[in-house]
Amino acid sequence: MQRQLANMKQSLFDQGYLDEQFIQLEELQDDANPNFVEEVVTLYYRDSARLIQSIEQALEKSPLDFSKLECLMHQFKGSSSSIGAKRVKSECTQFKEYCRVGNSDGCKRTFQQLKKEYATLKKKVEVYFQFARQIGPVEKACRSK
Amino acid sequence: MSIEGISGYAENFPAGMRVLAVDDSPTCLNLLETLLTECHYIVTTTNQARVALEMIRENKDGFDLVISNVHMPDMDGFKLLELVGLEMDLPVILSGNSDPELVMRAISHEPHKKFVQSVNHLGIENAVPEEILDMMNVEGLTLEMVASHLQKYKLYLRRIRLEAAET
Repeated sequence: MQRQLANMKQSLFDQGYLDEQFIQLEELQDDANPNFVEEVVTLYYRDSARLIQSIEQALEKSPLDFSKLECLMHQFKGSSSSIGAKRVKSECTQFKEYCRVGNSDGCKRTFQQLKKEYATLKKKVEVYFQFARQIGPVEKACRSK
Repeated sequence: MSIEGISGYAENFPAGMRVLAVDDSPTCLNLLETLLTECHYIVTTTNQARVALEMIRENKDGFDLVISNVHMPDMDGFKLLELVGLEMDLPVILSGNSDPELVMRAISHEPHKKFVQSVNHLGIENAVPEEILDMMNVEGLTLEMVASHLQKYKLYLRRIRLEAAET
């Protein structure tokens, strides 16, 4: 079971969904903070839902306020980056570039792509955490630090 | 944000250091709080610069260090840095961007002015950290700090030269 979990995690890394920052999060998880990673990721999804809505609204305006969009995306990129959401972060970077050059279509297209990556990652980590919870605290206590 | 090798450095981190962390992103603030707690610091958090300022003013000796995000809706990190620096002798770390220009803006206090004066006096080509350090004569300043600042300053100068060349 432990090995299955490890493989699941490895595949998330291999497919580029997560980066080393996720490992840093795991290192902060311990007996005092046993669900830290799941909590942080949950908080991220809750927190970023607002941001996504704001960006969506801002993208409906005409003409686009690129400076506001870049600012919103900067926040979103920051929090995505802090949980190791590699693909999401890369879409954020792309979006900011389009803002910088004032490319409306580019922004809109990239945002759709970003939402897809964001949703995909959410599903994948939910499965991962569910599985991790099933394995339970006994296995985690045996894990060497 | 990383705690790589933190167990190795644990002896060098002053346990019980009182840190005020400011960031409008709940995700980042939460992560920062956990990281700082792992370092055995006493952490206070707020998501508003204005509140941070109030906290510091109300309790002048309550904190040893402030860590703040640069981009915040109610007040940007630089403003907080300026106000905290002016009113009290409290170190502020700004996070959020590695743009050399932003770094330069952050270090706009007396030490930086002395730094620039020293560099200009010596000439940028000839300015070496040892001589700058001597000339600045600021208590508590180390060679590493000057060397690192010099590197960033050179990047900044190169960048503005490039921008000027493009126009």
